[in-house]
Amino acid sequence: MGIIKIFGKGVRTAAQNSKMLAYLWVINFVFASLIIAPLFLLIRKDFGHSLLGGTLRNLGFTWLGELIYKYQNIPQAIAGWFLIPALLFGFLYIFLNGGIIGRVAAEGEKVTLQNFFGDCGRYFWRFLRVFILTVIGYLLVFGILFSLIGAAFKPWIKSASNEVPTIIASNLRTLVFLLIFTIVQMYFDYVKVSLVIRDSKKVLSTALSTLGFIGRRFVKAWVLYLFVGILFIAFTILYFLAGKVLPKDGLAAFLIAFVWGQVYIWLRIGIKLLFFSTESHFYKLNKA
Amino acid sequence: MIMDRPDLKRLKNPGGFLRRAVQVVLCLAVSAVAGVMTFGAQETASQGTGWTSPLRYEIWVELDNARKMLWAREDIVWQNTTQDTVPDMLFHLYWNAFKNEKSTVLQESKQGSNLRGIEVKDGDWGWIDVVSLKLADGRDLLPTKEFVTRDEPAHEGDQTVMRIVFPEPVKPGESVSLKLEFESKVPRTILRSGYYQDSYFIGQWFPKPGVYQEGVGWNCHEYHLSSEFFADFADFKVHITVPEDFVVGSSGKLTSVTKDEANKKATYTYEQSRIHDFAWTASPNFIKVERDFIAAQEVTPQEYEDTARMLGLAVDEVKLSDVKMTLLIQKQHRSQIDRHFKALRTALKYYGLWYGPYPYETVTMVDPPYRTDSGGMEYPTLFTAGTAYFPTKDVLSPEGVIVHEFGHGYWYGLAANNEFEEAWLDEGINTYSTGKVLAKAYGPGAMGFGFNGIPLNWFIPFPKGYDHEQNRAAAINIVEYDPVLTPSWKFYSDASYGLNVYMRAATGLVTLERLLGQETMARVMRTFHTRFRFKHPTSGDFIAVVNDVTGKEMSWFFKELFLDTLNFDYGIASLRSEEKQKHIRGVFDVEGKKEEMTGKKIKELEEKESSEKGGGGPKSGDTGKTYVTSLTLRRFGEARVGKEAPLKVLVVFEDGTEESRVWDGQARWIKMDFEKTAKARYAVVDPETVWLIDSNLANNSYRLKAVRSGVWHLAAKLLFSVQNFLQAVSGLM
Repeated sequence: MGIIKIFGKGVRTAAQNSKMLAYLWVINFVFASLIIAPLFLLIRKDFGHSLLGGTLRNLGFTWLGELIYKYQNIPQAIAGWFLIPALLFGFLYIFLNGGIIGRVAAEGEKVTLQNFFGDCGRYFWRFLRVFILTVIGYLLVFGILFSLIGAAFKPWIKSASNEVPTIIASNLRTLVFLLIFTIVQMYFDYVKVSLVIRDSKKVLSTALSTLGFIGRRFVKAWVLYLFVGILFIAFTILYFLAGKVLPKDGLAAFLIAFVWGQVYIWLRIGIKLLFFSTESHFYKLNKA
Repeated sequence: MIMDRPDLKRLKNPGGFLRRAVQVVLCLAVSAVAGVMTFGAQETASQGTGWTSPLRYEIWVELDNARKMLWAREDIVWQNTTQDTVPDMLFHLYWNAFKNEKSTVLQESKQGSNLRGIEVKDGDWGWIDVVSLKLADGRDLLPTKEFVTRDEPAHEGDQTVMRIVFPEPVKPGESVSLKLEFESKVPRTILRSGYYQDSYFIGQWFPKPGVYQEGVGWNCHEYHLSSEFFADFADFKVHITVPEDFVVGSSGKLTSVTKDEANKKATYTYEQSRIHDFAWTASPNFIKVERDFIAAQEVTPQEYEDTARMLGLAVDEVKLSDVKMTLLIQKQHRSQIDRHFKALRTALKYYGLWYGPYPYETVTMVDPPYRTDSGGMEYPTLFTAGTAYFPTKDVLSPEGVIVHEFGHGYWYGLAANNEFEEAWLDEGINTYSTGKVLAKAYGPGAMGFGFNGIPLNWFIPFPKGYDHEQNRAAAINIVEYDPVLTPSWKFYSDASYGLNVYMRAATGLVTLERLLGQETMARVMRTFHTRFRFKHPTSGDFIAVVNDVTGKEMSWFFKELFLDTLNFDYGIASLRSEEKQKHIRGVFDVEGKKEEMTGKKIKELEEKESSEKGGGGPKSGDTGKTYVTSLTLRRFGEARVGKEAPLKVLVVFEDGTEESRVWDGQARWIKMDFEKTAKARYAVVDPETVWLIDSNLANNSYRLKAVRSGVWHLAAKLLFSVQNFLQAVSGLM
């Protein structure tokens, strides 16, 4: 089956599982609200009654400088309050990925809270082990490969007589790095998909066999992956372009902008579902 | 406030002109006598060269591109214009800062809180060696040479200040002629000077005497990490020999070019009088473009009249001269030539109109050679800017740096403060001036951000702002480290130096402008510049000019904001409006008896009064009630306003009326009461934001009813950003 058809199937599957979008959006919203709540309260205390409060609508040096001055002694607390929930959220997604992939792989079944979180629990320990492998994968990419890619461009950059070679080389290097990063991401996605579809508990052997699977169908798999990625970029551009024509003043404008922002978050979550659903279909169609 | 300007009137006064003419004649007479007594040589400099300064340099320098060396000889004539008898001379040898890790610069870069740790790779060092130093009569002074380090903390081993001793001291009015030979290894660009491949920027490169100060001695500091420079005004004639395919830019005016075809070299001779430094650059990669600033085309008669009126001067006194502009630009930036010249013309126009006409014939603007780290720096009649390959429309770059570095031709170049000891006098004043020029000519500019050389401003509309807004944001965050008036090398860190002498000083000056009024401040700046042009002003001189022009004692302003680390913060502590009770509860003496007024009785009275006013209750807007508004102001910071500059306080009421009061701001707090028929809507202290230096403008106002739309907007944006960040994190899991 062609990539386009697989992509179409993936879109249908993601749409059928849109209830999951709601669960995931709620979790995202709650976590983000918890993170910004203390800062919101501080800002409300300092600016809520001030005539300067109106300037907070747009980024301004006047209030930004004052915020930095007022809160200069609590950066560690702020960083901690920000980073710890962010890390917890990341770990939570190890749990939630089980539900996402479990439900998209179970074609035709309706999503319920019970079966979603059931899948989260069933696959959690396997996905936790995959996460450990992922960390190693990222270290390889960020550490070794990045250095190798950098070394390849270094002579060109070192001997440059103006900034043009440096600009070209550094952007090429970033592009190459990003492409390799997508390959690593895609590989680990397929490891998770494979674990779910084969219902295997053997993470290492599944990881090895997935290497073979991807290797034999690399171009198709990667093109499909990049296709979804390009869709995400297109949505992002559309979001920013639409933002320019939205009204700016008044309560209605604020609500529209807020809703539009949340639509974008839904789309991002939907893209995540689309990645897994297309990968599931691709795996099912091509597994040995 | 427009004040009488006796100093400016003297300038227009023929009697004053005559006095100045007499002074010039006397100086010439003294010089002639001193010329006869010149130490060790006949005074030849006045013959045909047009020397005008008591210090003169003639330098021959050859650039050895293969070995990255400079071979040079230098003639110096120094006249003792003081009443002291001077036994020695101290020279700056700045390039020895790049010689080894014992230098003060490299030691300081690794200390304390400095972020700018300078790492020099093997083979990249630079140095300067004086190999011969003789009097004009041939007597050798080199055996007396020693390196001195006089600043605290001491950095033994630094060789950026050299001392030599004269066989006979130089008496008042006498001159001494010196002949030096020196050789320098050009560093692989460390601080503002050096080379990259075949491109060179050569600054602070020749042995330069310090400034002799009467009764004090030689002012000649080591090269410090966080300092710039100080030298005497002089006449320069410099002959620069370079490979023939190199394009050269230099301080001064090009007077001759000599080609040596056989050796494929060319010698460029530049001359300039009355400057205190000389820099040059050479590269085969420059494109040289010359254009003219024609004053008659750049400034309209109306602009001259408006400027003259603002400054209280005659129109002729504000007229500008034509200037030859030279741009040396990197080939890959050729599309930005017009943008560079537009910015330079803007700077020539406004600095000229506001502070005085540019007095030199030429100005050279350099887009510095790649990787020479020499951008954004000033030298008399030459400055370096710097730009990106992809400039953006909304970001004022390179405009900002061009205006700023040209402006240093005024603040530092002409009013030549000691940058070691009082850096704010050029950096702070110039940052203030740059902000005004950019606001006038360009409006607000966006901050520029890029990734791998690609401007993010193409995709993301970053906020725009004026320089004074950005400067204030920095200024309020640095107040508790060092006073603005701190010797450069004694700041807590590089960051404290930069934020204090540039941003905090500039914010202080904007505050002063708002306090005095634009016109008075314009006259202050003009007076300061014209009075100290070609001189070495100090902070005390600036304060004296402020006092002189305003007719007020304004030293308190500088004491609070420049000489100390006092935070300035006045604000509203509380605002309440409560209905004034017509009837008071309690026991009262009525006609000799004690009568109790109870809550119940009061309620009955009020109901009766209400019905007596007519059916339907009070008319719209007429509640019949009186409100007592209590406003408490506090001085949260340690800095105080002067008693002559009380703070304005404004209270606006629900019925649209306003009340203004003043507070002298001396005590820690004050309470004000207002009795009105309406509640307060809001109160503001310093409603016109005169005190821009206030670190907390948010507490300057208080609304009784919170209006939190701005807070919610910001919260929504923060929420969205965090949501996206969390989604990105989830993608990695």
